[in-house]
Amino acid sequence: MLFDFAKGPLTPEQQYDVCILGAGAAGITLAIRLGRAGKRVALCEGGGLDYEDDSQEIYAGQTIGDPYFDLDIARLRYFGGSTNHWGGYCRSFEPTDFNRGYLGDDFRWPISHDDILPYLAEACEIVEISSDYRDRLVDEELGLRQVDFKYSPPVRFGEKFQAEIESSKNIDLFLNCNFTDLTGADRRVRSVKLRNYADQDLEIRANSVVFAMGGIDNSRQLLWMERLHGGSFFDRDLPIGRYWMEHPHFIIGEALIKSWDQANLYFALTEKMQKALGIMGCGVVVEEQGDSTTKRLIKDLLCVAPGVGAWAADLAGKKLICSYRFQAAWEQAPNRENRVALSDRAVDRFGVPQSELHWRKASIDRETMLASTQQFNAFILRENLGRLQLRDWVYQGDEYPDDDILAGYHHMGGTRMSYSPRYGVVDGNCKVFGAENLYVAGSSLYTTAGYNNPTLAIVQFALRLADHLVKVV
Amino acid sequence: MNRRTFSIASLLALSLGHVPLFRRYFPQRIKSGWLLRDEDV
Ligand SMILES: Cc1cc2nc3c(=O)[nH]c(=O)nc-3n(C[C@H](O)[C@H](O)[C@H](O)COP(=O)(O)OP(=O)(O)OC[C@H]3O[C@@H](n4cnc5c(N)ncnc54)[C@H](O)[C@@H]3O)c2cc1C
Repeated sequence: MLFDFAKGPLTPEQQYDVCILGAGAAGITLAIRLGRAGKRVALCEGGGLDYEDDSQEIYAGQTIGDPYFDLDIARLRYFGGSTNHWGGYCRSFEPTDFNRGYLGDDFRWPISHDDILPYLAEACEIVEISSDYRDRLVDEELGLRQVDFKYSPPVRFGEKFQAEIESSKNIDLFLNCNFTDLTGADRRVRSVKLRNYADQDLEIRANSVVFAMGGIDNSRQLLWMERLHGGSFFDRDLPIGRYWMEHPHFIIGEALIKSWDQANLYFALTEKMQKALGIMGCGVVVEEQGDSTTKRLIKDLLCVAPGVGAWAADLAGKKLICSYRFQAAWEQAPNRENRVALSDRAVDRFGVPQSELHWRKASIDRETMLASTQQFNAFILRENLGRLQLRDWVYQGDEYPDDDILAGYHHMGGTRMSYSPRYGVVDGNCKVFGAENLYVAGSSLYTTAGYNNPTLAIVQFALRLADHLVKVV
Repeated sequence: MNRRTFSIASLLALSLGHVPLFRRYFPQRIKSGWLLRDEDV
């Protein structure tokens, strides 16, 4: 059923099994699976069915540190969440991503890749892609792999599941219902408080509550609950908001390479090589460019290295060499200082402090990109496939450019999973440490970020959480 | 195997002075950003 709080007062039923706050990829996946399993679900969404300024403005915030996108354009705040504008690039975590303990305790997950793998096929079905990922080892010695990406149409979760939710006997969708507070005591949430844009309030009671408000607002709202209620609902002094991560995305150079059979290729290093180099994951996307780029690069190479330039020019004449652009998207090390904090300068219309995002890239992050690029370059040179030209800022050791891609709009960490409340906010079942019935869904759970886009794994984690909740509520 | 454990200090280090870091991974000949073999020049 669908209830719109913008249209007048609502009277929800006495008690739900689960109340989910936020209807994006995570919240909708969770609601659908719980509903199909016969659980009574209240799915509460702050926005309506379409974009409205009133809702979107609540996402305003400040960023401190490296250049980043404005927080109110880096996500969408209505039914379907940021899947209303996601690109649909899909690739999940790899086993390596769960084995980063060699880098330190705060890289350690409480679960393994095997815990989410059983949900891959179903998650792929939801985002309408094949689950048949075909990676290929390119060179064992250099640890180079070609990795496979899949492209969702892209599925807009709101549009895709609206009809099923509206006709479901088990799921009640509450639109224009903004989470504002929790009630309860002794580490147990009894109900959630919601408010519409006419400042009317609604209370929904549930056996369990899930925060699914996205990779920034899960932290913001949990920090706000800590400020309002101290340790009433969960352990004090959890690292809420901390270890926030993105995937830095930058164009690192161009190349002349003997033509490959595909226009776009994606490379990464093997687990063994990542460990040997002590780095994290990095994907190098190689995209074919046009003739004018090829001509420009040949002209440039002829000036700096006439011999190899003439070789490239000769191959170009025979249409045997092409120009490519290299873009790297890589994993950022979890860093406690990168965090979502509560602003002390501005509040949203409901009086909740805005997000203040502190985000910087560290030297290990740069190392991951450099080392991965070098392995790739070593392969090109050893096989004499061509030559690579790095962007000035890369080889001159300058700051990152601020007119590049910057990042992936991937908001990860902040309410991360850990084996210990010292390093994380939720346990391996996504339950907030010290809480009886408060859970988190979405990429804010990620202990480490991998180098791949987050949403396919968000769906896997949500399916897994649903299975857990089916057992406990 | 060159395994390393990153210290908090290295994690917190801001992105300053990247040339030595770059050179650690790219010791080879570089001209105008082109990564070259010795025999190229
Ligand atoms: C431009 C862009 C391109 C992207 N491309 C890709 C891609 O190619 N591949 C990929 O994997 N990922 C991509 N992403 C990321 C992807 O969109 C997110 O990972 C995904 O949408 C996150 O799902 P979520 O459910 O955790 O959060 P969201 O989808 O953000 O959903 C959160 C929901 O919570 C609601 N909400 C927030 N606060 C409250 C409140 N107080 N009360 C009630 N409800 C609330 C919001 O309205 C929203 O509906 C992209 C993102 C952007 C912005």
